[in-house]
Amino acid sequence: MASVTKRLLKELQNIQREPPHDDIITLGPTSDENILQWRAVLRGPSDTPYYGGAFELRISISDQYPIQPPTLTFVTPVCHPNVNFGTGEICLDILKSRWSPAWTLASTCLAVHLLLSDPEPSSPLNCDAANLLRCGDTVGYNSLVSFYTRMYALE
Amino acid sequence: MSMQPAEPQELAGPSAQPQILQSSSAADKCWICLEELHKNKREWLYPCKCSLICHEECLLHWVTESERHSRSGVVRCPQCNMPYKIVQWRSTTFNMLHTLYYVVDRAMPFFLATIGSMAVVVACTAYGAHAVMTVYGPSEGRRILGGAGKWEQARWAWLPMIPMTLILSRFQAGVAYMPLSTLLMAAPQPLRMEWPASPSLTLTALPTISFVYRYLWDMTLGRLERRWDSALPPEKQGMTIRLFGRRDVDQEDVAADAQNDVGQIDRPAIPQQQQHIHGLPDQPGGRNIDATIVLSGAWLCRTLVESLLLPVISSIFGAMIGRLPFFRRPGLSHFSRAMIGGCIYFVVKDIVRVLYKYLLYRTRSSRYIQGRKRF
Repeated sequence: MASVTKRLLKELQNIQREPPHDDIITLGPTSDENILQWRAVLRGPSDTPYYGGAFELRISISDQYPIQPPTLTFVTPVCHPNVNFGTGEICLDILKSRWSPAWTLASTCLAVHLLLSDPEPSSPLNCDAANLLRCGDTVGYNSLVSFYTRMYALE
Repeated sequence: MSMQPAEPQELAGPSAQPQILQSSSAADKCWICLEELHKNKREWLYPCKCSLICHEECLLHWVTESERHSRSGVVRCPQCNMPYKIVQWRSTTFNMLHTLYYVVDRAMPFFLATIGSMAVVVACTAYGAHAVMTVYGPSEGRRILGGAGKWEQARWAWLPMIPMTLILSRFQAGVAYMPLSTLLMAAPQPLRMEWPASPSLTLTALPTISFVYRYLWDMTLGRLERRWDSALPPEKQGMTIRLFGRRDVDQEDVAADAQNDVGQIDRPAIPQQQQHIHGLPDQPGGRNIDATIVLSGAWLCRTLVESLLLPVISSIFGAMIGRLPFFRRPGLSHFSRAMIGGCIYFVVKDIVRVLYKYLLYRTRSSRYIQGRKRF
């Protein structure tokens, strides 16, 4: 059995033994045949405008995992400074330059979950959302985000 | 593009710490492949002072991969941030070869750029030589170029300049450099007022001739052309570049100017140069507003091709007028005939264009749509 499969099975066991977080609704392979394709559904963090939404993530794992990071993309359209609204691409350092094998798929999903409540407008993939934050228009940002959450991501 | 919002631990908070830290049984698992300690006989390692342990094989794989991405080459423990100490066989030959390959890889783009620019220079030189042969005629051209064996450095300098000068001279700014080409080309011949004019005298006089011609054109046919232009809707909009100055005019004026600009572009009236900068003081009726250029791809292509074909066109026109008795005098060189031919080409071109504009204007103004009139 390839090392990637072994490790993914271990991670799956760990997730089933102790679920990582209440806001991770589902996390697991999409089908029994291919363990390199996972799917996750995150609940929008409370005290953020994402609250009340459920956000689906597609997780593609290369056969070099965990040496290479997995690729996470939002399937649900998300209005967030570090998420491309059209493609769902996520800009997060641990998914690129700062990846290390110590991260698991569960902890990576939690990092994405935290990114929702902690946006970083200085390196935006969604300039409109980032500009609202950069000029300090929190009210505008919150209402824009909750509009999109209600439009696309209601549970 | 890579984003660095925070340290992973800091960003993720305690709940999102790497898996190892959450699990109580972390101590006996490889932090890379998550396998338990006693399961197989692979080499175990305590690489740093913290609780992370792993297989040596797994860690070597990770270190090799991270070295490829990190610039410093230092790989650290993701938990305690201690750099891993990597011991390996060291060989001076390997280090030298490694550096060599690195330098060669980095230098390749520069080599490629150098070769590319040399190819351009060679192409320009070939073009320049061809232009000289065309304009001066075979015998004089061969004398100027000399044999292929005894090309001096000066030739390498000025031959590639010919296509550049031809193109540059089509632009307002390029006219200033026209005499420079004369200096480069006709250095051995002193400037003397004589008839038929020597090549250097002709080239020096060209900007003046073109200026006078442009002035006369603006006074006569240019007026008519502008009138027809302003009556016609603009052909197509190109890219508008505002060079300098500010425009304090209302929208109507802007629209009118846009029309004029297009007309301006379609008026490559002047031999050796083209006035496509709008609003110069000598512009009849022109308020001295600013310089706006409308560049369209078609115009650019036309100008480039025309500039580069100019030697051939001039020589063809020169050959044509050479059949007339007046131009068949022995004193008139192939070069002079080509120059006169070039001037005639520009005049003919301008007249044909004005004719086209006039016919277009007549066609458009005679237009109506067939149908029953209500009253």
